[in-house]
Amino acid sequence: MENWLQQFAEHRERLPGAQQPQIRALREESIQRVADAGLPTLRDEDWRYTSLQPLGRREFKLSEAVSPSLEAADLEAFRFPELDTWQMVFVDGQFMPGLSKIEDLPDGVIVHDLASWLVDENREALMLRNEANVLASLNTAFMVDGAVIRTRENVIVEKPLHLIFITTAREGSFMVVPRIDLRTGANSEIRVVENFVAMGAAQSLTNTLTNIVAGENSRIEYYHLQEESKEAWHLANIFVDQKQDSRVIGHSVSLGAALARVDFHINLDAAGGENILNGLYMGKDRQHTDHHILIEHLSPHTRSEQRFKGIMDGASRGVFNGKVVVHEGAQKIEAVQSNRNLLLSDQAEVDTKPELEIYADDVKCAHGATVGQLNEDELFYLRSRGIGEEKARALLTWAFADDVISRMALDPIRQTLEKKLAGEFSRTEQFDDIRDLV
Amino acid sequence: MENRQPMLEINNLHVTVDGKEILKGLDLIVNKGEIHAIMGPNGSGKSTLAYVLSGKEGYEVTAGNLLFEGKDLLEFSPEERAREGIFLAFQYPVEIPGVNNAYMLKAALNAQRKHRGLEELDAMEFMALVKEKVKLVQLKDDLLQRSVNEGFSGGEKKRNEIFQMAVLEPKLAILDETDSGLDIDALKIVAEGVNALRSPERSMIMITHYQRLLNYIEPDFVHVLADGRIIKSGGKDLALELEKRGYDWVREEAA
Repeated sequence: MENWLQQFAEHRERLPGAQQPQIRALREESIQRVADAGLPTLRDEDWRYTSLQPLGRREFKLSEAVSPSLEAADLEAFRFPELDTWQMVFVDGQFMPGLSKIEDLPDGVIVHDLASWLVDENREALMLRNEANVLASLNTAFMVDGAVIRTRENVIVEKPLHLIFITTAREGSFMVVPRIDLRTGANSEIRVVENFVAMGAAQSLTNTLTNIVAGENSRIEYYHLQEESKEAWHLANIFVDQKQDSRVIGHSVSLGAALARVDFHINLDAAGGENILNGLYMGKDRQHTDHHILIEHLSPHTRSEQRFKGIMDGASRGVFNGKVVVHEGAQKIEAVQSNRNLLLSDQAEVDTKPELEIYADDVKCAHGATVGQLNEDELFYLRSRGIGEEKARALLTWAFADDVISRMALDPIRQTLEKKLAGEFSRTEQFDDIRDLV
Repeated sequence: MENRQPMLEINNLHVTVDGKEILKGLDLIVNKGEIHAIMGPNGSGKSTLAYVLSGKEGYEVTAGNLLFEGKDLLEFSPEERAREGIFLAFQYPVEIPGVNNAYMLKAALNAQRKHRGLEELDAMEFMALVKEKVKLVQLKDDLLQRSVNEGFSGGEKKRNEIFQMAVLEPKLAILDETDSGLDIDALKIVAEGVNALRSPERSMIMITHYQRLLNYIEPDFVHVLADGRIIKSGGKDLALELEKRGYDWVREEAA
């Protein structure tokens, strides 16, 4: 904590927007909130299973100007084959215009880097909604770069926007603080892919925040793909406000990082809003991954759906907490929530807690959570056909995971992830044609 | 039965499940090309025999031995037994959500071919084979592209088992209550499929509760399994007699 306050004092004059009184005040206010509240502890209900205490003990230096020797070719590994996208690349937290492709955007679409947006006083203010969330406050205090995205009404953005956040293996521990601010106009449509990747064993702390306001009858497909280095910490807050008849589909895939914590805060503000979240988290060795989801049905005729699956191997630990709140007067609600977990080793652990809080009487809600192992009968069936035990296990694990991946609308992302997962599940068996026959 | 080469020899087989002895000294010899029907009342150990032959966990062999083409089966894992040529058509085929039927079968066939030193089939060759075999059991093409047995009717599941058997071409097929739960039309289709797979090179063990199946698939031998042992063996007429008189008289005779 001391370390952060000290770093803030060091950086306050250099952070983007330091010359803007409003932004300056906002940052000061946020760091004060961090100082007052302190990091959450295991005594906080929302942090019962995930300790941030080691964070306080380690010195993550705010990543400043970097001189990455990255070239376009280095990015190939992070792109999705055959997916034509607009692209913004961030290296150790900084926007890299030379590696990005956001020129010649169609009319009615704004995609801008955050740092220069904050500096320009003519820009529309960012959406700020910190609430009582310390990590969100920490993000606001330190936000260095990121993306501001706007769609005008009736604009359909054909190509997805791919945001690639790369951390590199530098000396020492460092912190990157991205912020994404997305607002869609009425009847517009956009797909945004946030992709957190690493080159080498980066000892990074990513504290990212995404603010989404889905305009009336707009459509957003949002991807949060976390493949940080196994040494890294990944903390993410995603706030979504949905206006009337808007539809937001989110996919969260968490594969990397020593510790990952992803929080979704969804407000269904107006009738007709629909929110669908799919999630897959996987852990090996001593990885720790935690998803917290809060869905607030604030208005009648809103619908939400969360389907999360976890696969925990080694001595990893998975945490899922999904809370659906149906507020008073919010009638005709449909809410579905499921969390299924597969334990592949005796040392792996899962803590799952689906919660419903309902203050209306005309609602349709269903939730459930399971934690189990691979089904022995299924395993025996495959083996009795001649399929080796390792492959049979990998196949069943793959099938479990693919149920989530297969709901992704962008095929190249789906395919890339499927290949990656197949590689994760089996070292010796080939899966390259797993989809060919489907 | 010109070539009396033993395919499977079971000697004095004792099997325990959860500490309870189910098979209590079972003897059986199945020669190449023969079809044996094993009948018996519920709880006599019929399914235990099927599982122990295919290597399911939890079936402890406490005495006796199992030889397949002279090799000790108990040394083999389930997948090795399959690759050696043993096929079990399950009484209750499991549904495996997310695992594509055709993909599973191709992986199985290629694992078996590799084991036998044969070239693996590519997707094209495999699909050609599948198109030919699927006719045998009149299984709809779209079922092949679905998850294994998921949402299949009872009859479709059983036909899928026989279809898999047709593709894998085992040396020894064990049909565990393949007839149970089938209406007469479905039973005829399954039986035709099985009959089409009869060959002097292939042996079969049909485990059944009902004589009805044997009207459509004619066995060379019929055995009565009761209390963990084969207590009577005979030709196909024995099945008719069992149908008429039940099992008690055999038990009394054996006692």
